[in-house]
Amino acid sequence: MGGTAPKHKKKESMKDAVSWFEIPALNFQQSVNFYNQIFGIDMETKLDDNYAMAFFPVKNGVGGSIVAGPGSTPGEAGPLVYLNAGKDLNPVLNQVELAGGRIVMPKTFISDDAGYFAIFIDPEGNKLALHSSK
Amino acid sequence: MIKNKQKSSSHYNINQLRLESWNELKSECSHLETLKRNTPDSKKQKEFVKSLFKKIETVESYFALPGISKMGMLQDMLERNEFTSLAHKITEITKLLVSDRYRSNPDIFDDEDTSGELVEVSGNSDGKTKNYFEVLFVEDISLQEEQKLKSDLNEVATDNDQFDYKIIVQRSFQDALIALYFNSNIQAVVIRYAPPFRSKKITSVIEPFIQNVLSLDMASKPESELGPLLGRLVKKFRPELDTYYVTDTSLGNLKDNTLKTFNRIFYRAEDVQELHLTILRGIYERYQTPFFTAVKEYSKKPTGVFHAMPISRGNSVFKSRWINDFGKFYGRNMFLAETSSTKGGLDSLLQPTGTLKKAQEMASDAYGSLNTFFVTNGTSTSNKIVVQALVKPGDVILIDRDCHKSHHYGLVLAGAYPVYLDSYPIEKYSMYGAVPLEQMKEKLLQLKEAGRLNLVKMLLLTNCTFDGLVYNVEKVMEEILAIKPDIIFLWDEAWFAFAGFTYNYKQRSGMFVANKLHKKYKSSKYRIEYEEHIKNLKKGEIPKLPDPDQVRIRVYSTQSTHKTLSSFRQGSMIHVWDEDFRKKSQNTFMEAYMTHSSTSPNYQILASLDAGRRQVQFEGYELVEKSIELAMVLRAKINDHPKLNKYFDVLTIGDFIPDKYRESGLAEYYKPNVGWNRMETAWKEDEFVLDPTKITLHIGKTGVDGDTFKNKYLMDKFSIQINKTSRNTVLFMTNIGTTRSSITYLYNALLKIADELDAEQLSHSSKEQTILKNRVSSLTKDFPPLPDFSYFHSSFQAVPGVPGGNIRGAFTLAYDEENYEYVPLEECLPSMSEGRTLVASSFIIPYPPGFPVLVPGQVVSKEIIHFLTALDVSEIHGYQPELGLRVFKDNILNRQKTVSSMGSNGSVKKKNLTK
Ligand SMILES: Cc1ncc(COP(=O)(O)O)c(C=O)c1O
Repeated sequence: MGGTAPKHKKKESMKDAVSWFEIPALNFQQSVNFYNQIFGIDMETKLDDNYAMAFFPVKNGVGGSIVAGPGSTPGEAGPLVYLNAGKDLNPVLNQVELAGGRIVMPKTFISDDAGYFAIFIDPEGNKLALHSSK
Repeated sequence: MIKNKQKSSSHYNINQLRLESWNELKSECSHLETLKRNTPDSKKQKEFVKSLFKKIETVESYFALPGISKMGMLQDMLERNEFTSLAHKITEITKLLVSDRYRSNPDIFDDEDTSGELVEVSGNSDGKTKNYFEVLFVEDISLQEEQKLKSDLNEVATDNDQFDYKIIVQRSFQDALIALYFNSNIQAVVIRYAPPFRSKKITSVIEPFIQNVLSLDMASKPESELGPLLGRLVKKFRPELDTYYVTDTSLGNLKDNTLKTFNRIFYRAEDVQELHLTILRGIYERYQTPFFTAVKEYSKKPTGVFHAMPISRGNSVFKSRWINDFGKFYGRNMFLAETSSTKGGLDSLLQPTGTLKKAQEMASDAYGSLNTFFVTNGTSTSNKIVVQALVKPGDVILIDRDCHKSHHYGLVLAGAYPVYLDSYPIEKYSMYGAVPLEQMKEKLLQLKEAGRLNLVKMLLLTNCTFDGLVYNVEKVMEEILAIKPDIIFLWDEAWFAFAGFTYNYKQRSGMFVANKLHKKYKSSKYRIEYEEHIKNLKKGEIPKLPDPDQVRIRVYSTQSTHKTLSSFRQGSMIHVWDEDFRKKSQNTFMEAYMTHSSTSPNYQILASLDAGRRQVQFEGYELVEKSIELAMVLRAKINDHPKLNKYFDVLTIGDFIPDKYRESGLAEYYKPNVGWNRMETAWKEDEFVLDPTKITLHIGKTGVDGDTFKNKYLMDKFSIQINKTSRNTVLFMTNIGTTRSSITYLYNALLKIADELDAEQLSHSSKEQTILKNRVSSLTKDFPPLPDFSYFHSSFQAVPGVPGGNIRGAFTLAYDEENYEYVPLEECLPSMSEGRTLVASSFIIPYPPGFPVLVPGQVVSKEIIHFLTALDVSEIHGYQPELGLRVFKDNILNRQKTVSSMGSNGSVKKKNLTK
């Protein structure tokens, strides 16, 4: 896992606020296909008796995975995870609907500093954001 | 590819032909009587009467009464020149046949001195009239042997027998089938040994009426197989009949399915008494009405009620000073039969173990299902039960948009995503047809493409529609199963409960086809056909046959028994033919059944479903055929009368169904000068057919609109009640309760209305004439558009661009009044042209046509606004004209959008965020 366990130093900032994220899925393969398609990646998967997991390929940044199994319930409410869509999120966003997701908010300017974001719902019904500098 | 060769006949059915032939014989005999004997005229007339006898003889040979020996006697009288008594006799017989009265006194034909007035006697020792029926014997025997058989059976019959019957002997396979078509009072069939295949008596007179028989060619089968085969055919066409087989093959050597086909097999049994008792026993069992009988018995028992229901036994009514009249009106039995008890012979509908269980099993037999459930709150409830039982939130249902509203509400409850299918519009008459199979397949393939086929659970269609459009159930199921082999079918047969009781209709009903396809796909013959089909597919071609290894037959039909058969209002049934019922749906089905059923179901409704089942098993075939015949008679009468066809047109098949859906080319049932077109081929092959008992009358030429015609003309002036109208049509239906005199009454009423319209027009000023002309022109030439389903707003779509939407999400968002607003109808179009997307937050259901033009979450289209603006009906559910359309506010449509807080916190450096 990326990141290190926070030390108990008060008032000091953390390195990353996020250590790891998980996108729940019921229909595991459909979900993996979706993310593979929109990011043009090939996720590594791991299956055991109860759970199926697929990992976003990252070198040393914050990573995450798709998880299917008990307790892993997709939904559009709750925390919003911003996925890194590279320099320009358009190519990723363009794949969303083709891959069976739904764009609920097109590419939108945030600020010069923060760049752009867009929101989509994946085929499993999770709401996620895409983020890019341009 | 229209085959233009139509078969037609000058009578609609054999019954018409038979009665008309007797009437003709009657008048010709009367004429003969008046002629001076032995003149050339008289001789000529005698020869003519003889030829009439010939003609009638074949037909009569399929009926036990008056019977061929009687026919022989009459002909002897003719030979002996006893014209007066012959004329008298024939008048008697004709009277009896026309009135049907001989059925309460079958021996009346034997009385030598039947005088003008007949007393209805025949009864058993307790004075009740016995039910009379006929038994078909199939065996190639001589006339002497037939006489012997009759007298043997006569000997074993006693006054104490509950029922009375006579037999008809047919000597071939074909004749047996013809008898079954013609003679609706045959209740049991005894097949003895091996009848030959071919009939020796088919004449051109009966040929047009026996197309279904002639199309079966079994001549190549060995005769020894014909007996069992005939048994199987009887079970297929008239499954309610008892069948018996007498054979000299020993039991051990009979095939399994022969054993299963017959109610009982006799080994060379010449024991006539045993046969007689077996026949009566079979009828007795079918006659049972377990629940109705239990209610009757219960009401006879003295009971003190220390439970709920003060009305029970009439206690709170008959002693009342103020509602005594209520009790008098309904009579004592009504209240004696009301109880909350589930014991003492009564039963619990929610967990039946006794009489209701038995009654439902008997209904299941009668309707050809694997399981049947009684429902006491109409098919509205049956529909909700089935949908809730089988689909869960997020599942996808293909559904015709103009189906009954109970389905749309069912979808909301179940949280299913509907994919709406559009019926083709019939703009000229402001109504919809039905959904073409091509469209269903197209939607299914779209879903497949989008990887959502696994979510598709059900195809839901209305069969037949209110207006009488009937699907080709077999073709639809076959081709849909070829794409999605485990799909569940829900056929809304609210208007089609009667269809199971006559062959043409039956082959387009859910239960019959389920059974048929199940057998077909299990056979090794089909496997070969399927493999052949797959091998010959062109590249990219979609298979039309389902894979026998994957296909599952899962079919549900919901029927408003009360709409077309005998049952109190709200009496409805769910018929199930689901090979996975036990494994996959029984539990959820029972939960759904409990969800929607009252814990105090109405016993009178249940008893009526039970009694109605007995009726269809004994006289369903007869009554349904008669209601079709009466519909045909009405169609012809209106068509033929110049005064009526000046104002009214009976719409027919060609008006409702575009050519491309009618391969047979059948465009009308009746054509003046030609007569009746036979409907067999069309009902077997065409994609859609029109149920002739739904008679749509186009009234545009009167200048009166449908709603006004219904209320001001039919109801106010003639107390004729109808339900459905469109802008320029009214719909009449015949059913098993329709009588000849009610047809005549309607016909006369239409004549009077036509007279009135004539008179009115004569008195019109020229200005009034212009107004009328404009009205007629508007009703016959301007056709308001009929809107298709538009689409779900993107925020409610399951997946963009793929059909299917979250109707429940939209429905429940409107629980909060903050979420919607009203836009007056006239402001909708301007607002839309300014770029606003209007999305309905409620169902909007105009009556007629009675289905939603907008559902929650649906985007309002221009066509829908045009339609609503042009609509001239007063009842629109979900729409208040003074407020306008109820639509979602923009922030609700944008509810999934949000701002990003990213970067709002000044301390975060740019490079942290956008590195
Ligand atoms: C097609 C259809 N389905 C279901 C129903 C509802 O039936 P019921 O009145 O028995 O509740 C109707 C009633 O008009 C209908 O037309």
